[in-house]
Amino acid sequence: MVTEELRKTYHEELESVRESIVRMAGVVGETIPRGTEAFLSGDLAEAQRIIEDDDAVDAMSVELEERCYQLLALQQPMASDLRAITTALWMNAEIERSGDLMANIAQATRRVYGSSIDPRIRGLIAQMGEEAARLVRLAIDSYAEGNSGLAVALDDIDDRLDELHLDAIAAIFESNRENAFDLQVGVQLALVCRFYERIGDHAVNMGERVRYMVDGWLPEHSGALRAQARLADFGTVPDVTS
Amino acid sequence: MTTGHDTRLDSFNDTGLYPPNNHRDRPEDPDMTATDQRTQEPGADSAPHDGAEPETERTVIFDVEDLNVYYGDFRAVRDASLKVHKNEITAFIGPSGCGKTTLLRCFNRMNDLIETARVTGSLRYHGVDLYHPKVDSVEVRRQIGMVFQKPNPFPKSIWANVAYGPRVAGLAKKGPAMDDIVENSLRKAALWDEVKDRLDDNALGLSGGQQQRLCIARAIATDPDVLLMDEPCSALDPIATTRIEELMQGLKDDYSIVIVTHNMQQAARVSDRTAFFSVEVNPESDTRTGILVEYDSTQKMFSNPADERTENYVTGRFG
Repeated sequence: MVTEELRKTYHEELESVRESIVRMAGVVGETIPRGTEAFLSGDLAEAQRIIEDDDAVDAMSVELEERCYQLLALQQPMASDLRAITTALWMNAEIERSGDLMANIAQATRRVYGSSIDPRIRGLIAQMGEEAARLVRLAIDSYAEGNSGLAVALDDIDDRLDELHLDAIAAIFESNRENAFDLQVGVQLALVCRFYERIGDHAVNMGERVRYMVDGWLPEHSGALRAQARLADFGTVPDVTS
Repeated sequence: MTTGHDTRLDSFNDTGLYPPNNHRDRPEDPDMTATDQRTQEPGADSAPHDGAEPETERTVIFDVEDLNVYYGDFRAVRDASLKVHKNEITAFIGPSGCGKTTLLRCFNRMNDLIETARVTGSLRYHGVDLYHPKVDSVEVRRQIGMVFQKPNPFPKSIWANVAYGPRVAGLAKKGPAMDDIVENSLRKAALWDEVKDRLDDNALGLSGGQQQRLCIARAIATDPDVLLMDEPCSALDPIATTRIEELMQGLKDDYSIVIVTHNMQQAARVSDRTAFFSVEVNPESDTRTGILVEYDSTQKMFSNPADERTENYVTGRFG
């Protein structure tokens, strides 16, 4: 179908927001292997750079958010344009948070500095770093391409990272039983593993938002359906606030 | 069914075309053989109408099926099908020449007034074939009021503008009863407080927004069932527009509203359902025919429309 672009400036700005999201995700995605390497090699200078780079990501994120608000306020976006902007806002938050988690890992690099870490745990952390980076890359690919199929698949792709997380926690317990390191280090290692696992979860969230952008599917439908079913069964949704 | 001519039939002037649950009696079925409808036994009224929707939670006011509108040989609207629901605001959007106003004008048979206009297909109002030869088009227009693009008050007093319809329809004569109708109508149109001290002033002295609200008051004074609005805010400033939009939200409790608007944001703001019309150009004759592309809840139409043409239109990629 032949269409004429009537709102050129507006759609260019929309496209520019999309490019900025991809660029920001690229920056955060690159931080993951850098941060993993810095953690495993105890590179404090690189850890410091990662923490500072995260400030730049925060600045990008704030600016992007503002641009999205401007588009909402000034252009009254509708249909796919509206979904593109709301998705950009969500993506922005998920990417920014993923960046924060890498900054947290950089901080943990300082906290475990000088401790020797079980090679098995080191291996698992290296793998988690790779998986987390892969998930972020796939999430952003699905966004850039508007690939709903890939977006939906992220939940299952994330299973591998979840398994690595469980293995790593088990290995930390094992190491602790052998008195290989003190509790402080053990807790830091567990947190680092958790941070990678969370980056995977954020990638899955991004996939859900991409799916909404592409076909209007709203995330958390399954949870909402369960709540409705409980409502039908018991006449009330259990109070989860107390 | 045939149309294009005034189809008043005396036996129907008495019984009229009354929707169910209106303040008057139940409607008679105009498809029945024309006899004096008042001689029917009271119980006969409860028989279902030909094609009438059952009283579900959402009553269908207009049921349009495969409607075509012609001006002479030229087909202005092709095969439109949709249902308009009670106490909802239904918006028609689309580019110029897409047939949205033409279809709106079918709803109270305004196209009858155009010599060459012809309608085929089915247009049922509360199950009654609106274009049945026995249906009284004047009664149709009493029950289905219209507000036009430009405010068009009569060059008379504010009071006389509102009283005109009820007087002609025989709802009341001059006096307290008529005063009540005038006041209630002006209140419903959110104009009373602004004009109550100058009801005898000429209506043309009102501002554009006030004039349009006066036209709404005039339309609801005859106690209609439906209000048709043909771009009611296109001649108004943003504040007057907002007043009309707010007014519509209040009016839909009592009336069903169909609005044609060029302003997509307005359709998004005020309506419950939106119909998007587009234009098809016939390459041979170079004529343009309006088609109904998509009809759905307003929320769906503006957040995730099913048809690519709707998507392109609402995002400004119309071609």
